[in-house]
Amino acid sequence: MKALITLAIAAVFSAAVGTGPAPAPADGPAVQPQVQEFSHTAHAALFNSCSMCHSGVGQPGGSYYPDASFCATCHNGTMQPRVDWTPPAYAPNPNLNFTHESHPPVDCTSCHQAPGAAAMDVGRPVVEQCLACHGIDAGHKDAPASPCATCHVQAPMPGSHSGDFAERHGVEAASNPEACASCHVRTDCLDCHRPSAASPSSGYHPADFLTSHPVQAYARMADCSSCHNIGQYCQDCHVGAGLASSDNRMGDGYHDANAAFATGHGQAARQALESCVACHNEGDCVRCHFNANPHGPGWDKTADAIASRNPTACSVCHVGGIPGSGGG
Amino acid sequence: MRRCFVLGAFAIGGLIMASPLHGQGWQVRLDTWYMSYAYRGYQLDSVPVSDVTQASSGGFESSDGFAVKCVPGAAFCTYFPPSEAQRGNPLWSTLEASLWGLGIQGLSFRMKGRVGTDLSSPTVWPASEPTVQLTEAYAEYKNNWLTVLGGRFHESSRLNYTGVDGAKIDLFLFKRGLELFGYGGWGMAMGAPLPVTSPNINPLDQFQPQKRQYVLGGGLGWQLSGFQGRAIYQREIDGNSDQNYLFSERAAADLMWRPVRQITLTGGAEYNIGIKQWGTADVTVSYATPNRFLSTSIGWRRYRPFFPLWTIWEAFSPVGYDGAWASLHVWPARGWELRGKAEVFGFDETETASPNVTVANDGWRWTLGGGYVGLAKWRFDFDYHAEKSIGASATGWYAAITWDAMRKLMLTGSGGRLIRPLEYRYNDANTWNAGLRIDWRPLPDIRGMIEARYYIEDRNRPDAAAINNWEQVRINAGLTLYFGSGMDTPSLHPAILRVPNRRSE
Repeated sequence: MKALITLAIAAVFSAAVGTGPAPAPADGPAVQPQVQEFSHTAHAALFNSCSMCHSGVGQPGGSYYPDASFCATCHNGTMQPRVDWTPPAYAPNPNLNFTHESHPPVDCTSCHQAPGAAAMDVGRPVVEQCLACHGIDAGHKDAPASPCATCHVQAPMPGSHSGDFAERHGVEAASNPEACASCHVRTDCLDCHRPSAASPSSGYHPADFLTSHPVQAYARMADCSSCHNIGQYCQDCHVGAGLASSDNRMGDGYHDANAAFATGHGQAARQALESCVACHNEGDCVRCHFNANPHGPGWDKTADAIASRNPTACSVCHVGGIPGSGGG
Repeated sequence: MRRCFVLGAFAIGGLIMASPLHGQGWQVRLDTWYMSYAYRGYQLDSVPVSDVTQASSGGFESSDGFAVKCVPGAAFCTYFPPSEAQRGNPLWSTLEASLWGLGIQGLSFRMKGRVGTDLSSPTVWPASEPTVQLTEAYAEYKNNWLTVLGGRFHESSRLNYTGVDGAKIDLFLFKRGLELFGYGGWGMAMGAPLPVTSPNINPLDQFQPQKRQYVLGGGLGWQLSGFQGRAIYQREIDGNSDQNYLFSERAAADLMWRPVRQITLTGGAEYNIGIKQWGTADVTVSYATPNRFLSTSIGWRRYRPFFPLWTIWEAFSPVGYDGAWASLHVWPARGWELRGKAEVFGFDETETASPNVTVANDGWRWTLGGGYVGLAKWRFDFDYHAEKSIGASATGWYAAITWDAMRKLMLTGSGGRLIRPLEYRYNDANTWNAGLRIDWRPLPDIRGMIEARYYIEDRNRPDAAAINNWEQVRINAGLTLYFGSGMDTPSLHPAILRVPNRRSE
């Protein structure tokens, strides 16, 4: 069986490597062309319309810049000095989810002109204009959870994602999953919050975690049970390690730092019951607590709630009926 | 036989998926990893009372020097010597696939599953059964105001991971400013891609439900300017009872408020209706300077464990604790980062005072670290931590140097030490480790890593159960492949590539 699994994984691997699409060039994104500086304001009196020079913008295959001969109409060395300029090839920014063709038609100045600027005082898109129009109420790049993918293909990491964001992202993700979804898909969460074994390639658990994990488990610095089922994961491993008990192990001396641990374990158990459960089954506890009351602080209120919702666990000890319920 | 069939289908499916499809959009991520590691547990042993002598410490020990525990009247005394080293070799492959653009705008299919095993015999790695595990597989339809999905999916919230075989519907109203959602179906076990009835999640043969539970949940979310939140209610119903007994009934809410650009307030709480007690809760205030000089957070959190009502554990009245913490990140100069975090916490009253065993009621922990990334191809990191708590005291440090040799290859050398005294077992663990990791990215859609780490471990005890200088080498290796439509865009983050339609618009 194990050989078959290994073979299956190897088959999928080789298939993936062998028949996947042709690899893309590993070079970085195309460089934005450097356009020789052109003063729109200096030419404002001549060109009062964007389309006079940029008529191809928004047209499939259209030219984004005027032909050089158009400039030479004036810059012919007689009327005006000649200029050494050739129209650059239009190269859309590969990190933008934007093309002029696909964007709803808006006035050019909506993006290319700052509010209050003089006529023809235009230039590269004003990012704040994009944010305002798309309802993004935060500064560019420092929004705690901005919908980056509205504009970007590869979203710059939001400002909030620095520092210890990985540790405290839970509430933000839970309160506004839509913001996360602008860059992440649902299953991204499962890369770390997976209900199975942690993968070393995801790097969720640090090196030496096998040795240090009892510390985190006891202190609940990480909520182990949100990703690992205690039975499937903790007990399974502890059985193999000889730590788990199903036969009154409490009396055998594993907790040998204190000879009286079995009779004085109550406080430790109430403080770290999840750790106890990682090795002990219910029978270990019921064996003694069948006759020794295990109920603690606030039990009266809790007991009523449990008994009304699921009394089957109560009947494990209260075989003759649950006290106060009329049954015993 | 059935498993072999499923496994074969999985492999064949992988082969098919690896060849170009004609759907408008499809993506596959194949994440395979292998580990080799060893550990030494304990094994229960015993000696006749006649072979036991009284040690100078006052306790009893066997003739070969093991401290033993003798119960008056018993013929044998017991002890836990270290077991032989066990080496596990888990090999697992996770396949994640998405398919969309099938003629209906907004329709997509998604799945995430694992296949693998522990190559060692007997099996050592936990959760190695079953060998095929399906985490998610669902069809989803999405438009601007509605999302509907059906199949196996999970719901992640403050109530933790809830797996469901069923359906979910989301309605988005008022320009997506208000979300109403509901879901239902047959539930999975807590934190497992398996039903609660599976024998694989019950290795100690505890009490176990005979039928799967039904899950019903719903809630709402809202997005106002600077104020966002989500509330959820979830009920798990015992599928085996005619009286509609419950596995759990809980509600939770999460809020985020950003009064000004640099300050974020987040918080939330869970109320366990089934036992009429508050569960986990926390409040955090974060501040970051605009120029990325400083980032700090302070917070309060409460932790209380959650146990389903089909178990008996709530009858033992587990208590929670309250903790206050603060963290600070400072970038004092270009390339430098300093970080620190500290927390103090205290448990609720347990009403279990016993003169026999002394247990701490509170604890503390702190970490301090830093890094330097000012050189073009180098990164340096160092962290020290110390904690003192019930069952969880430890000190240790970790240091790493990363050489980004070229864009496609990165080497990391690291090492650390951990000193971990055990509170309830007479045993002080002490480990040193040093390792080398190689990260390799020959193409944008292929990522690999391999790490070898050398360990030395001591378990200090004043008897023959001590372990000195136990050595081992642990190996981690992983290979992740992305392929599908849209994967020919260089340097894009995988998270972006996996958003359907992101590149096809």
